[in-house]
Amino acid sequence: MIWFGKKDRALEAFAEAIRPELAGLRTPRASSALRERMLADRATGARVILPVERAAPLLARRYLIAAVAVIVGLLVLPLYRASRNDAWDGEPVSPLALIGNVAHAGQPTGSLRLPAAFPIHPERIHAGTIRYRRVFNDSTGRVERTVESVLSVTADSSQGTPAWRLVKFDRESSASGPVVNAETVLVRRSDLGLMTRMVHVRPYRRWKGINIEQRAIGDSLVGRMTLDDINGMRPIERRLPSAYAPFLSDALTPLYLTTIPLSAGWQGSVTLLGWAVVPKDVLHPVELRVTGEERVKVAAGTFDCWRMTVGYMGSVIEYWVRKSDGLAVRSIERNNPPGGERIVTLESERGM
Amino acid sequence: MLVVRGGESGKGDLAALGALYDRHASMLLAVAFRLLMSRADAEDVVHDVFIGLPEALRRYEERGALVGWLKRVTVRVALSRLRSDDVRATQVLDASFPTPSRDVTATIDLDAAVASLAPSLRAVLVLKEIEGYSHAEIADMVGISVAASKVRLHRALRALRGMLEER
Repeated sequence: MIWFGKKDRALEAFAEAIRPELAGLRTPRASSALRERMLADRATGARVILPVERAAPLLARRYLIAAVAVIVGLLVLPLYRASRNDAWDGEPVSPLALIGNVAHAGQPTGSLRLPAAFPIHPERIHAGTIRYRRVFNDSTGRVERTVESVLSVTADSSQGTPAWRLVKFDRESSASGPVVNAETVLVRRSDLGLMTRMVHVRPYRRWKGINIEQRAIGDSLVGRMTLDDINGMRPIERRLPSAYAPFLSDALTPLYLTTIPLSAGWQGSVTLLGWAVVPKDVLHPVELRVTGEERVKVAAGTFDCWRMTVGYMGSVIEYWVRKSDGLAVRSIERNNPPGGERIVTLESERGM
Repeated sequence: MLVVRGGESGKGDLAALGALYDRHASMLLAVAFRLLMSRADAEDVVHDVFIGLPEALRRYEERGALVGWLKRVTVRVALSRLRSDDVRATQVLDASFPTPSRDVTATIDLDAAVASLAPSLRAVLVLKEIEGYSHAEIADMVGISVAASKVRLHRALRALRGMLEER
């Protein structure tokens, strides 16, 4: 072995000697329980975006082939889209889990009224797992639906850029079977800017499932929508106006205020990203205001919180974040469902 | 090669995924375990790899063996987990592990010594000395330079030698 130009023969001999022993280190065998868990999760629609396995350097000829393929694709795509659009009945619109429920129709015009709430301390995001519960009560207070939501954050990187991988997995039991909404997001650690996002909802309307793949490139959001039981896709090509930055995906929402020092009277705005398949579901501006302080008791514990209002496309949601670190603890949205309310509470946390 | 179609999870797809699991999961679990030294975390990694496999296979180019590709993907997922603070406490001597065929005492010593290495050193040691990757490949996967990979291997081996000499 060469170490600063000096060969350490003794260490080299040691490495040779222990190599067989290292290869014989005891390791567990894959269990049938793990197999069952994996297959069950996959059957209910769980998805994970695996890290990109970068290919070896390509030959120039392959670049040429790829370039030709892209050009042909660009020429054929408009025709393809025109023929495919007839296949969808209804417009795919993003459900938002932690702020709002279903994205309202319409897109904002003009500029945001409140200052943009960019992350001040993105380094405060760290690995961990959070569980939330969303309960939908009808006008009599009876529970209509309950959704369990698990958000895990792990360190990652993409093409050399340090990133956080956020995986949000919502599961809801219904009479017709489990409903799954899974979102995997990669955000840059430096500024929490979106890198890639994949959403899978199963079932979705009359289809087995829907998949949304997005990638942020410069000031644009590109990607595609596919359905599990129909071949073909719809492209996603949207510009993200800087006036509406910062842009948040649904999975980042409960963590985002951990990066901003809050105080009495603080206010700011962010924009939630929709699925961006249809023009009315791209940008969903949110206005955040600290309106007071309150001690809140939830399953995860009792916390001193900032009480906030979240202005969201004409609705106002009550929102509580922990004073110690800005983590979302509870939200209440009145009249969702009509006459009822939707309550999101922090169930547990690990590593946060 | 078995092909698992992405997007759907019909019985055929799950059967194919199950067959892939039966064929490769133990090998991938071993790779993840050596990097993480935690059975629970290694199982989470293998779980995630197989959950994401149908979609990832769309990007798989048959320029190399599937096994090699699966191992590299598993290594990347395990390294991602290693970089996070989420790795649980080490539990090396799990009673349910298969009995080693070699000298048990020596293996246990080496188990413990490898487990006690700093994760950044252990990762390079495992990838180089056990998995057989080149320093260039390790540098790419870990996100460090080739020189840093060599330095870490050197430090890992020295630390390992020191620990084993003490025993």
